[in-house]
Amino acid sequence: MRLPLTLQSGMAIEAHGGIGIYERDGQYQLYVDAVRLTGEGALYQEFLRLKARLEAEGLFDPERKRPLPERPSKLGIVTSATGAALQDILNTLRRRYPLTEVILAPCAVQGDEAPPQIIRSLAALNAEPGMDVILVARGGGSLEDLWAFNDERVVRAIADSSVPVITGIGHETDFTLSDFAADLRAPTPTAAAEIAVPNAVDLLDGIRMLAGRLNFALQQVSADLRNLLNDRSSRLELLSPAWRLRSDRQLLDELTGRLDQAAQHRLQLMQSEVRSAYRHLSSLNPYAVIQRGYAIVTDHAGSIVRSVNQAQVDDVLDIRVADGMILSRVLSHTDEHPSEGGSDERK
Amino acid sequence: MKESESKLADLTYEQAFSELEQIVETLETAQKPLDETVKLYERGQLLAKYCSALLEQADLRIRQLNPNTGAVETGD
Repeated sequence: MRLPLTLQSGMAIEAHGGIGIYERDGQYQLYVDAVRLTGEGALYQEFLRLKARLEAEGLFDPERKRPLPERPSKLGIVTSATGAALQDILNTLRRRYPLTEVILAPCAVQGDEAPPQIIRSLAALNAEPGMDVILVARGGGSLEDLWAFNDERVVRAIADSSVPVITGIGHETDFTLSDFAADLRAPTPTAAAEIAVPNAVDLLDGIRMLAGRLNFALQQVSADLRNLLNDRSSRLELLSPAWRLRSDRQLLDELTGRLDQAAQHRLQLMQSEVRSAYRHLSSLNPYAVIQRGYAIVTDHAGSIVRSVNQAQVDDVLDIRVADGMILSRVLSHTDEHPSEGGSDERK
Repeated sequence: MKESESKLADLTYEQAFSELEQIVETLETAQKPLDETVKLYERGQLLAKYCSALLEQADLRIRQLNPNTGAVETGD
């Protein structure tokens, strides 16, 4: 048989079993198949009765459970100032979330004086302004050790607390009526502290993630603004007078070219006109005629004499021939064709 | 930024964190002018540093009540 408790000398127990008689020696032997501490059975019956009554009253209803704060800034503790439970809680809080302010309301957690002290501690913490959550804790022990947390007054005080209560009483397997009345039951004091506060490591991750989103958001905004700026400046570029100037310059260059070409053309035309005029002139050269035996007569004024009417007797006339001039004097003149304009004087 | 830093010190972790969350939300969803965006960003950076510092450097503050007399003692 496996015993649920370690038997020690002086322990008061209640045992169940059968009696055997060893006749030869006259000995009675007790074959025990169940054992429990004296009084535990009665306590357990009491526990079940009270539980049923309070349950029927609605004290343990799920609707009564309040949500717990995610990041409590003020946390109360109801436990023994000297117990290991307090150290476990404080170590857990230090490790996970040292930002919370801890208000300790010490009390006895065992014995007759425990219930009124637990109730006073709860009241004192409820009176503290800004209290976010209260831990009610005690280390492991027997059903009798934990009995204060089954005290009806304590259970009612926990249910009536205006601040949410987390219990961490005994070990995983221990259930007290305080656990049922609390907003949340944790299996141990350490677990109660873990449930009460977030983990700083997770929070740091959360902050890093937010900082990352912050950076990304800024990059996004500046990228958007840069794109917008690029778009506008390229549109401005298109409207720049530089383009207009460039096309004006092109037009000017084109006109200059056409001007040059036109002038060139005109010049060539004029040159060829001059050449042809010169050829024409050459063909009209009077001296060429003179070469053929004609002469040109001019009067003293240099006018060419074309008619007899231009010459009077004794007038001096110049006669140009091919190789020089002959100075002559008019002796007479005869009008041969009076109807015509006149003709060269001949000698 | 001296001004907002001194204001930061007055903020609890919860206040600083929720302001940080709000700023990120704003920057992600709302179109703000550039100078305001930069201001929000810088404020957000400060808040993130402040929150991290609070978490990393904080020391658990413990106060002990004496429920029997109502007096308050400080101690560790």
